[in-house]
Amino acid sequence: MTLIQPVLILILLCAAAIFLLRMRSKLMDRLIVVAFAVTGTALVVSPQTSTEVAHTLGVGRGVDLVIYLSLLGSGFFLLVGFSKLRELEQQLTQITRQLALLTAEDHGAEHH
Amino acid sequence: MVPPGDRHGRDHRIAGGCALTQFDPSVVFVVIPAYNEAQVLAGTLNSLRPLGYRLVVVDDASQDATAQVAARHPVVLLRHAINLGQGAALETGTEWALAHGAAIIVHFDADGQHDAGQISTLTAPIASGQCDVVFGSRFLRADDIARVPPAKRLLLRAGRQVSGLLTGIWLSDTHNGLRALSRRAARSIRLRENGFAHATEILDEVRRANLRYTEVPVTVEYTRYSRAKGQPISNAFNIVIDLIIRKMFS
Repeated sequence: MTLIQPVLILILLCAAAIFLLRMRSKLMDRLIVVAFAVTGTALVVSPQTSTEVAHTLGVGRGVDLVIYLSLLGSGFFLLVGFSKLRELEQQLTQITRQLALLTAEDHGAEHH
Repeated sequence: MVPPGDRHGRDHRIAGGCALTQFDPSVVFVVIPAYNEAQVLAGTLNSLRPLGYRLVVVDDASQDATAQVAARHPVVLLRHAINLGQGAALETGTEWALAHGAAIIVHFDADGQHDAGQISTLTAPIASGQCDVVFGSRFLRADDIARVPPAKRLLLRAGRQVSGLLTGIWLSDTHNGLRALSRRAARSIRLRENGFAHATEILDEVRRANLRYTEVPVTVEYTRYSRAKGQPISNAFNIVIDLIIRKMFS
């Protein structure tokens, strides 16, 4: 076992643990995180597995395959996060608007 | 220049001078979004006051005395707890106006660059039932065009192309804050773009709801204040990004 392997495994498991313990999340999200942690750990422990998969897909090295997939994955999560952000923005707008309408001040009467 | 409406073989513009129908100005609600306009808001409100319209000031969480200045005038004051942007402020004001019986809703800038006297030019085609939405344009009369600073002129023409391509509605002056909407139009148009991209969003909505629209010439005064306060030219980039995101996510 090389030095990098335990480091990577530790980071992976810590990240998964933090997510599962701290973040309030849906069952689906939790399953995805667990799947990621398990797959990640497996790939770190036996790197040749990714190389074999890469070869069957026509990619030169296992590392390359992992990089391609993680790039696509992070792009996807970026988009998901972005649309969530927009959704939150809309909700915040609604709340702010309703508050403004509820607290409307009519300064018309005293000046007429 | 391509006149609006031509692309669809229809001309939405009104030929000649349209008859000014008499109506009660208190059914006209002027929505004035204001963000840090304490210096100039009093002047704007004083110019509007004698005309008898209902004035709705939306304070978009200004850090200065905008709300206090507005409160000294005969207006309805709506206050956003956090800054949302001009589009959101217009939508808030519109919602209030619709709930309180507005027949016509006018969008009017707080910074004094619009001429209160020209509101009647915008409301006339709606009052006479010819149009649902009337846009003010700085590009219909030579002397109005001459007032627009050259760099701004170039930018606005580019904005016109972008909006035209995205919405299929070709106005001579897309990003003009002075416009009027009938009650029917205001009810069918929902602004979800909080920022400045709402100007293009309105066109999208006009097209979607198949509203009748026209442009009328207006004069925009470029004071030192409005030039300093107004949108920096670089912000055009942000507007375009907002529009692209809007097209992707809506």
